[in-house]
Order: sequence, then structure tokens, then C-alpha cells
Amino acid sequence: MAEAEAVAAPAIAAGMTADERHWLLRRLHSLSGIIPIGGFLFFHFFENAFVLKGGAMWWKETEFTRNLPFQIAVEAFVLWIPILYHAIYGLVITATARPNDYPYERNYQYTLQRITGILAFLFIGFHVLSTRGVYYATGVEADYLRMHNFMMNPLILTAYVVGTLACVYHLTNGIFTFTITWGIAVGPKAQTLVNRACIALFIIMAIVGVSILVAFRAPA
Amino acid sequence: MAEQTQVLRIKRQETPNSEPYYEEFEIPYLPHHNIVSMLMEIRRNPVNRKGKRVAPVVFNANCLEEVCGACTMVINGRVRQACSQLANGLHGPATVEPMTKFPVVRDLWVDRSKMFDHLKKARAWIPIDGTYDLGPGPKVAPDVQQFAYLFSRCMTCGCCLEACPQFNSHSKFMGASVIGQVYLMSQHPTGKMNLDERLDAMMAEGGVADCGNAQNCVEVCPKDIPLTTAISAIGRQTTIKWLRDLFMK
Repeated sequence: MAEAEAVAAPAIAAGMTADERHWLLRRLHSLSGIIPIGGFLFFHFFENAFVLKGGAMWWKETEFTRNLPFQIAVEAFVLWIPILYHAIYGLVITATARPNDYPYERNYQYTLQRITGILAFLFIGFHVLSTRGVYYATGVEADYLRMHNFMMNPLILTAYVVGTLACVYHLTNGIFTFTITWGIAVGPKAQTLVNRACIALFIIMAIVGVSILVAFRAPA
Repeated sequence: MAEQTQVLRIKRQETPNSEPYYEEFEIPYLPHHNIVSMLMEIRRNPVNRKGKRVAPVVFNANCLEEVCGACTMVINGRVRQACSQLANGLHGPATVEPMTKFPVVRDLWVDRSKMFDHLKKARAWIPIDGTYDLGPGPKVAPDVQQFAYLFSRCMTCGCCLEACPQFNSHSKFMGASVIGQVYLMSQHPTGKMNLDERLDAMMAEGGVADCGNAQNCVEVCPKDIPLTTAISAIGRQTTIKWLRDLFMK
């Protein structure tokens, strides 16, 4: 009796059972992909789309993101920690997957979600280290010329296009699976509708994303 | 004209731990043969294609009308009941293998007892009278009955688990069938009284949160059970339970 209580005590102290903790870790993984990471990607596309109006406009409009109050804390809690959690726990989950060749659309999406997750992880790592990472290490800003030179390098441009498409697919398909996981789109009709909408969103975001990358190729 | 024949390439295994191997058999073709009746034909005269007399192929089968789930096998790479696979749907030699997600007992016979362990873990039953008669339970509306009926057709055949990329030896995921049964029990007003303990099992490792949304389960289910509806609905119920526990405890 006393022993059972001793075992149960930490769980009660944490306010939940060990069972619920596993569930919560999974749900945090699901949620973090949408809020804040997905939300940030929409914003990131929006702010960088100003490059379509020229490099100078882009630099001016993105000014405030470089001068946030509590910059480090905001970046850490809105970006680094959620992304690291989502990525590392996502890799743990991916390690338990054994994709198969049953020829169904959702099964392909399942496999693609895991492949794009790994690609997105590698790309975001490269992208962040080569922009913010370099800035924090050396003080060199990721300004228009730097990004322009990146996009003029065919190898880096390819990496950016593949990485951006992977991120966009992972997010849009993730929005679909989020609605399943949280019981928002429950029935098959609702799920098909959301799936179609998310595929449409993927196409739109892919076009916007690649347009932004290509726009950086315009001379300063 | 030579007699038409059907070739079956069967994955065989002598004991649970011995090496599997493939053996081919050739039997007279009958369009309305099914895989089970073909296996019975082989059993009657267990001579392989090389003319060697071998041990008969061991397999499970019972109802022969796709309602018991015993003869579930992987036929040409796809899981299904062997009894409902007719010869005239095969179009050439067929590969017949045991399910890969369950331990092989011998040849095509697998041990599906972990599916029953999952049902026990999730307490997927409705407690009835104890030491005294509890009387009749609450009435169930006909549309709820009809919806619940869809889930009651589960025969624990294992198709949903065989096709699931998330159900494997590297993961504790219990798969779709048990989630379908938990959902079935939550439809029933008497079953609902024990919903919380079933949701506890669903929130533990191996429960509903481990689903990867490949949705192969609902595609391969021979009983057309809306398994993905159950997964999403139980996902919603676990969210509600968690919020309730967070604010009410």
C-alpha cells in the first residue's frame, strides 16, 4: 500500500498519470508543429515576400524582426525550443515507423511526411546556422547581398528549393493530420475535404516560397 | 489441351524460430477455388512442384465466409482473408505468406494473441451484472445502435495491424482494431460508465497518440469498419479527458 503510494506520488505531483504524460508529449509534438512553428512559417513567407517588391523594400520591411525586444528570449521560446522539440521528438517517432508499399494515397502521404520531416530538419539547421547562426557568431547580417549570393549558387539554390518544398509539404500535410489527431476532422468526408484543402494550400505556399527564393536572384 | 493449373508459392516455416523458405505447389485450376480450398487440396496430396512428398501446409481457417478472421494471410503482398480470395481473381501464380506482424507458429499459422492482450489492456468489454442483477441498462437510440454496429463487426483478424506502418516491433502502438473497440464501448451507455479507464489505456504508450495517420487500416479492413473515425473521435475524447483532469482534479 505504502509502496504503491510512493510510486504514485510523483505522478500526482506532476498533476497527471504516467499514461497521460506520454499522450501529452505526443500532443505537444502535434501542437508545436502548428503553433508556433507553422504560424511562424506563414509569417516568414509573408515578411520575405516583400523581396518581390525589391531588395531595399524587403530589408526595410523586415527591419522590426531584427530589433525585437527580448530578442533572444523571443527567438528561443517561439522558434528554437519548439523547433528542436518538434524535430528531435519527431525523429524519435520516425524511428518507430516502418513505411510499407500499400498503394493508398494517405499511405504515400504518411511516408512523405516522414521524409519531408527529415529534409526539413536538415534544411532548417543549415538555413538557421547560415543566417542567424552566422550573425550571432560574427555579427554579419543575412542582408540582401548575402542572400542574393546564396541564391546565385546553384547548389545552395537547389538546397533551398528542396528544403522549402519539404517544409511546406510537412506543414500543410501536418495541418491535415493535426485535424485528425485532435478530433477536428473526424469522419471520412470531413477528412477528405481537409486533405484536399491542405493539398491546395501546399501548392499555393510552394509557389509563393519558390517565388521568394527566385526573387533573391535579382541584382541588388 | 493440357489441364489448367494454379501455382501457389507458399512461405513455409517448420517451427517458430526456424528459417522460413518458399515452396511451390501446382494444383488443378478451378475458377471457384479459394485459397483455403486450394490449401485443403494441397493437404489432400502434399506433393510439391518438384514431385517431392512434403509435410502438409499448416494454416488456420474456420468459417470460410470472411467473418471469423482465422485465415488472414498475405496474398500477393496484400493482407486479406484467404477464404474470400478466389482462384479466378489471381491471374497467375500466387504468393501466399503468413502475416508479418505476428509470430509464426508454423507455415501460414500465426499467433494473434497480442490482439487479445490489447483488448484486455483497454478493457474493451462492458461489465455486466456483478453479485446481483443490475437491471436493464439505459435505452440506446436506433441511429446510435446502427453506428455502433459498424464497429461490432470487428473479427480481430489483424489486417489493420498488418498494413499499419506504425504497428511493428519497434513501436508499442496497439493499432486500429482496439481503438475501434474502445470507440464501440463508448457508444454504449453502459460501456460509457467505464470510459475513463479505457481512455487511460488509450493515452498510455501504444495508445491513440501513437497513430501515424497512414490510414491503411480503414483501406484494408475487410469489414469496412470506420477505424479512422474511431481514431479521431478517441483522439478528441482523450483531449477532453486531459483538459477535464487538468482543471477539475
